[in-house]
Amino acid sequence: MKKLSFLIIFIVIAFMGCTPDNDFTVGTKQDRVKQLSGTWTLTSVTQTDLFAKNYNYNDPANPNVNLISQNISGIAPFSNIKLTLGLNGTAPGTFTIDYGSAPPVFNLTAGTWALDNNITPGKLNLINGTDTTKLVLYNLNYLSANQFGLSRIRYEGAKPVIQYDYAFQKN
Amino acid sequence: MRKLLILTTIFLLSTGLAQAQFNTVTFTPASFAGDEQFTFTIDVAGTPLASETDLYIWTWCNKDEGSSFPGRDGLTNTDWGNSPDIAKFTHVSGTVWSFTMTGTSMYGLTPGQLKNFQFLVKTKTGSKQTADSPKFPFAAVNYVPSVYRLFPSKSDQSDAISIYFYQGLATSINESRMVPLTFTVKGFDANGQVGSSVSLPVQMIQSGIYKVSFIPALSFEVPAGVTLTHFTYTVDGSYYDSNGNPIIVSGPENTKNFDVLH
Repeated sequence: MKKLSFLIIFIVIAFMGCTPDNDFTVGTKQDRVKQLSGTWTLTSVTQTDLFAKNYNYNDPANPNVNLISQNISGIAPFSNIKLTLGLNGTAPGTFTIDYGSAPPVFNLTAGTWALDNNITPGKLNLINGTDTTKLVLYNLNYLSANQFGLSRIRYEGAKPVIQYDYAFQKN
Repeated sequence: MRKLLILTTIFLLSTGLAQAQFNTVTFTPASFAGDEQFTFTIDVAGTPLASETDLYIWTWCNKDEGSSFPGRDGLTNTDWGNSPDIAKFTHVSGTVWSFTMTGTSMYGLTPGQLKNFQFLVKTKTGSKQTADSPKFPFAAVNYVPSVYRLFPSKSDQSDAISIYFYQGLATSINESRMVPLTFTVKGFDANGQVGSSVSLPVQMIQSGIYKVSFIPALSFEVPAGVTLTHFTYTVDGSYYDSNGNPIIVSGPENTKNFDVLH
């Protein structure tokens, strides 16, 4: 009887060990708005042909030539670009962009910025009057390491055709 | 003899009118793959269909393109004498009509099997019709090697553009034997060349493949308010002639029309 009890306890403990870990917490809540505020310098630009990506273009004769994406950081003085995101209290406030001699890739130089979700943002809009530059945030989890990225999609009509990924480092 | 001549003239004229080609065809978007929806607009002014109140499409794809691109009738081609409603054009205004379709649905083929398509415009009963359209291409969904490749495939003057030169695919003797040195690029708007020609040094990315990259708006110093319509590019290089003297040669001039992006 004693052996049977030990066996049952053992089996119960063993099965409890197999219980899935249902801890779905998302970690400590970060103040993304505060993390995004400050002055950022553009460090690299990647250009993606979305048509080539959609159809998974590849060149078997030249497998080392990437037909889908390429780093274009060296084409223009992109590293001159400095983006400053200010706060309005604890919310997104104004922004300025100093392009230096780089092309005005975000079209605007000053205005206000807004997020789709101030707690867990996915999109960032730069706004000046009726002009809005729509951007998508990436590498958000690197904000604590003073890095993040903004993606900009270019469209032909309603069809997305080019994606630019801009990586930033906080000054 | 005179009667025969008159009869022949009348026959030729009537045939020509009955088969008159519609006017400009405009596509939105400008290019599309077989699985992408697109709309094209036509103007039937000057054709026997100009005064019709309902117009229908008769369409087919891949005519005489070989087994990799099988020919197919569109699903709208059910009965020449009684076209179905799904074949109806949408009236835009006046003699302008539009039709929206997706190649894969229309022809029952995969995007990779669709090379081009044609159509004609007709009345419901087929009593009147236009001539066949030219072949309109579907964008290749598989990479097609060529001597020159532009990256990205769509661009306007503000985009970074890379021109690739695959020398191993060149067929002209100058392109084949030169040592590529530069690309000469020129920007144009509707009034002609904008700014100066720009010479861009090539970068060899691997044996036989060369590349230059530039941003037209920067390279051509495009003034504010000016919109470029296209640019041209030419590869320049050198080789030694039969006397051992270096000479400079160029490949053909190629043109890229800018796309309308936002």
